[in-house]
Amino acid sequence: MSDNKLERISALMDGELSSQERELAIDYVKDDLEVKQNWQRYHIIGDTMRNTLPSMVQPDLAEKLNKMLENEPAILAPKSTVNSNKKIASKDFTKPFIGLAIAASVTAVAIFGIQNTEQQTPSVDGSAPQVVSNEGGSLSNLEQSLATAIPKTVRTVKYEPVENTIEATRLNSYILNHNQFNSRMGVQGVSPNARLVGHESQR
Amino acid sequence: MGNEIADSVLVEKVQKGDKKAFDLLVIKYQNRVVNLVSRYVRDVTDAQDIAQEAFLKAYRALPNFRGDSAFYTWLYRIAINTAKNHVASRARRPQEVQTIGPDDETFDYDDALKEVETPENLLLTDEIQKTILNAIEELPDDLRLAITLREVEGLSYDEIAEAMTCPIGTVRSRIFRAREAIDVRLKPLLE
Repeated sequence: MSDNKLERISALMDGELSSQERELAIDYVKDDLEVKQNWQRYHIIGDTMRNTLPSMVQPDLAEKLNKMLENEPAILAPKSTVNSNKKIASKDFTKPFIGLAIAASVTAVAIFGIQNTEQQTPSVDGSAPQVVSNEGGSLSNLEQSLATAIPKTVRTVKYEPVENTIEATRLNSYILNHNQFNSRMGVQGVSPNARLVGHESQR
Repeated sequence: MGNEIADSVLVEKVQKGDKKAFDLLVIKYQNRVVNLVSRYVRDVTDAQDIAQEAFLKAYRALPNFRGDSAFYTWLYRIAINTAKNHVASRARRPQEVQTIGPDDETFDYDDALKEVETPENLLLTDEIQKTILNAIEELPDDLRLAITLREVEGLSYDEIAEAMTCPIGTVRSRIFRAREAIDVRLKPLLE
């Protein structure tokens, strides 16, 4: 082994080589076991002078690690940090839209859900509803069809006469208007030709 | 500064799949890393195991090393974190009490302890230090000054040349000759 070669290794340690010389010197150390041992001893000298030598030197640590690294996959290329930044940026960009979509879905469910509930809510009034057929069909037939068509969730309210006549009149007019509106909207289970009206208890 | 360039060249090589280049980084920093870890754990064997683990972690994390900091700064951070984790896990682990019964004829020591922490190894380190320091004492003044300014003061060849009023080539040669003179005494100890 020439002194010239080792002098290069010494200069490589100190980072005092040109890029061309550096490449050559690194190849010497990597590929020549004897030169590698020189590299190790030169570093032990430096560590001793700087007082950074541990209380016990383990000269074969690099060798042991080398054996462990044999099972490790070689690193082929550095991961592109630009790509990962782009991924993060695109994630940030779509985030508000995902939130918006979820909000829109919840709103839609809420609207349709309320409408459906409104349609199924029974009229809770003071008078018993009566069905009047515009087509003049028999009452028993209508009752039968209603019995099958009206959902079970509809609550039947027992008729109790309202004492106050002013209140009763106002309530009846409200029920009439309300029921007219309901029939136009197509109440579930009620024929569109049928009208629900309130019953006047006292006249 | 020049040292960092050499490190970045080696790191780049490792990142391109050259495992041998990582070997050079390990040899370069192993003593400093073990010495650093020894501040966190008392046991020398533990310190060496932690240093080994830190190097493994560094190798696995090298694809993500972008060179924002110097390699040794990054490596030291990994070593310190590994040492702290080791200390924390030791603190969580319940103390193992080993009792020796009257029928027990053998006592199981830690294998690694047997392997590394031996009086011979401790003696070797002591011997290495003495040999190197004696060799430095015996160096001619110009060689001793050159290598001291480089290794202890961390001066560049340029700065040493200015301090010693000599050409850079002479500085390079003096430092190399100093290392060789010490190495002649050191080599038999490590063979």
